[in-house]
Amino acid sequence: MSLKEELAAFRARAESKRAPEVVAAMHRAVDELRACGAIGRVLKVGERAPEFTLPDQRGEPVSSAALLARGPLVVTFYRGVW
Amino acid sequence: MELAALQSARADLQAIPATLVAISPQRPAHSLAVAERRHLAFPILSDRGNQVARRFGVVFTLPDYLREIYRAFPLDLAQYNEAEPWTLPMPGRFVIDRAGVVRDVDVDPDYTTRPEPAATVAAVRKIVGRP
Repeated sequence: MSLKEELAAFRARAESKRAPEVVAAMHRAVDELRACGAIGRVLKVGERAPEFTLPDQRGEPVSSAALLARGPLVVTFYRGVW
Repeated sequence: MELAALQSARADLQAIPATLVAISPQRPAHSLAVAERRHLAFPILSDRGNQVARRFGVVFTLPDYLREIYRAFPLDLAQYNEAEPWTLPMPGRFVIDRAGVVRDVDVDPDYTTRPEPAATVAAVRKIVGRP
């Protein structure tokens, strides 16, 4: 199963357990975020990525400059485990 | 789910070689728990208050009506995020070349949509000029 299929199945399962007004509110929030032009503020292809140094899950600092010295870098944003 | 899928793409990225990091506003202890449970071999970096996410332009604030719904689940994001708990990054993925320039972006306001790891690997292979 691709990640897309896995997520769709997860979403269907989660939404089937929720009250319709809750599902509607969650969809509304996504629609509003889409409509307010949030995507237009996202860093674009060709722009310089910000440099960063952040602690990993064990508190060890990780710097983007050090990683880029080894090759291309993939950065994925993750809301959280909840 | 997405992190586990990325873990499966990590070997391909490593062979290029390219590196992979996840960035999250949650406290390191929560990231440590998920990294161990999912056997993640890439780091989850702690971005307190979404300061780095803001520079990537992916931050948004949850509307009040959604906070109420989350609290009723019950889900209090203050337990996960130390600063500005109701501010989150949109799920998204950036591919950055060695010169520090963004070469591929996939961001969607819909949190149930995530880039396919295979597409990420393809995007990285493209910038290093390998099929």
